[in-house]
Amino acid sequence: MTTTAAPSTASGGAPAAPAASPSRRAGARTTGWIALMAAVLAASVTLAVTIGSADLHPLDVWRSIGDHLGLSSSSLTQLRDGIVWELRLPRVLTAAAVGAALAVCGAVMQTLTRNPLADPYLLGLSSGASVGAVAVLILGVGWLGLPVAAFAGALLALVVTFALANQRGELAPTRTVLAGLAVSYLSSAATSFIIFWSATGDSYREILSWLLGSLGGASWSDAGIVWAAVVVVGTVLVSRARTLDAFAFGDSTASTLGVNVNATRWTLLTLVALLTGAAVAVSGAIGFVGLMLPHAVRFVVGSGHRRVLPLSALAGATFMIWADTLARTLFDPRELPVGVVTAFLGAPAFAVLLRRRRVGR
Amino acid sequence: MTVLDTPVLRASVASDAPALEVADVSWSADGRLIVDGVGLRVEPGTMTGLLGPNGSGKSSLLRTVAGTYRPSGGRVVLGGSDLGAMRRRDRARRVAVVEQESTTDVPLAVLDVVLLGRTPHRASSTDEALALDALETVGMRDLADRDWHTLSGGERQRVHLARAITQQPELLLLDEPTNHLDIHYQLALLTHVRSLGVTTLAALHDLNLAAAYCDQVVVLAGGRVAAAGAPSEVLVPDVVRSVFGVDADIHLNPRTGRPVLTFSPL
Repeated sequence: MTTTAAPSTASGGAPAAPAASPSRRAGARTTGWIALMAAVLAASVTLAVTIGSADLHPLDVWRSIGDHLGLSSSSLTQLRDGIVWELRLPRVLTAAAVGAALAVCGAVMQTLTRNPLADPYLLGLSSGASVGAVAVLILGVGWLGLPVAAFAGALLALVVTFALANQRGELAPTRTVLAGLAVSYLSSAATSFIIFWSATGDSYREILSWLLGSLGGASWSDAGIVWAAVVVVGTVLVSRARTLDAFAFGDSTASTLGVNVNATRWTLLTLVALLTGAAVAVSGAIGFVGLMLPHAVRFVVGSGHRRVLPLSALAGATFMIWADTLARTLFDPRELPVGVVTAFLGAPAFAVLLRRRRVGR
Repeated sequence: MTVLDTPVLRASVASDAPALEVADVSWSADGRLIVDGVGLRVEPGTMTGLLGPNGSGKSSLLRTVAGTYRPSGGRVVLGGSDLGAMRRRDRARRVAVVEQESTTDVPLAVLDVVLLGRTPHRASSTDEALALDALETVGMRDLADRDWHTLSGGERQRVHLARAITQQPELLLLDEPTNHLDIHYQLALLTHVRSLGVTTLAALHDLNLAAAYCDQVVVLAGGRVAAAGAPSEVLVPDVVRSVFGVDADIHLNPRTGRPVLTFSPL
């Protein structure tokens, strides 16, 4: 089989002009967007750290970072350095990693379930992770136990959701959402039951604030766990970008394009469960980030996963930094759970999405 | 099986086009035999129409040939190699499928859809040129940048055909590709397919389209081959009556000499 693509009549007359080709332009535009969003993220980290009591200057942030990396030795006071390095920077970086993780998870789940309303929250992953995490919190296992339990919970929820939704090897979008809802409610009930049964006083309040989503206690090890998960899982997912693209027209088209549909779905969704588990373990269940951000990104740059995944990560990180900054400053000194902020911003966006879909049909 | 002296526009058959041989293929779902020992042969570079009433197993047979369904028996051989024994990706380099009304929720440009055809191949800098050439072939080069969702049904099917062409297949499988298209697009799509010179197996609803475009037709009934051969031999009142349960009269198209069927009210 050689050149069926060009029939004899067209072979001479219509050379593809590569100079102004559409995807070449899209490529340049994508690089531009990634550079822009990376710059916005860096600026957001710097600014968000300065916001709050103690009147920090953006340069103080970089001085502190430079000092701790041994690149400089500035005259930053110990108090200011402590606020930057011990208090705010770990929290802001954790927020960024959690936002990136959730947005990437949402993008991949929307593709693999062919459902624009899919996100870790809606399909029960977050709730499943919460069950695991709360069980461990109450039993009181060390810091490594929490992410592992959250991952196990998320994976279990994923298996149950797809077992319920599966119909002859195909995942129908509506069934998947309904199955996810069922699993989500069941997990929430299980979480409530565990809390009712064993939590008292302080631990009750602590768990509740965590359940609503909070980055309050974020430490360097939290930031490390989620960043490691984002980088490792994100790299694998980006390397499978073309495979993810092939799912656009459904399972059977993906299959005829050479994709092993079931194996791919399970492998990638297990990775998504891992990432969700890491995010939930440090921040609790934060909704809507995974739903909204990928759509916003696709709206701007189209659906190619080579573009959507990195940009979702950057946009999710930036969004979460500012959501968390709002959460801790809006009613200072009281702190709003960040999940409340993302839900307040996210629910209207969700409604808009639903409306647009109805109008589009 | 005589190949009709076809007046249909046709590019020269690629000299290395392979033949498709389907030998005694069966497929069952939930314990019910849907495809029941089907055998057929598509000559290199020709087009065979798969006909039959609803539920006769046309789509299932196509999916079994495509490898989407694993056959419960029989072999599918393309140019001497067993498609069933091939890795999925290797198969996808040789076989492209256009399904009926395959659509998507995500925002995609036409060119992105066509580029999906390169999925089974190694990414290369010539991919985009191939995709644009394929769009040229189906007459949609100007719409490369358009949003998929703004296209009409006929345009979408042509984009899917361009995607399949970009896959550079040796075998093209079409599952009722002209469904819901107006008459112009029906004719245009099949004319484009014919012009490719690729070995083609197409499930078709419309007996007249099959008669006009196919070198050979295979009629399925209850998952078995009821009749096979040149359209003028197979599409005769007796076969149409026994398979579809309708009375038909056969005429000849004065311009092409091909059979035209008219049906009497039940």
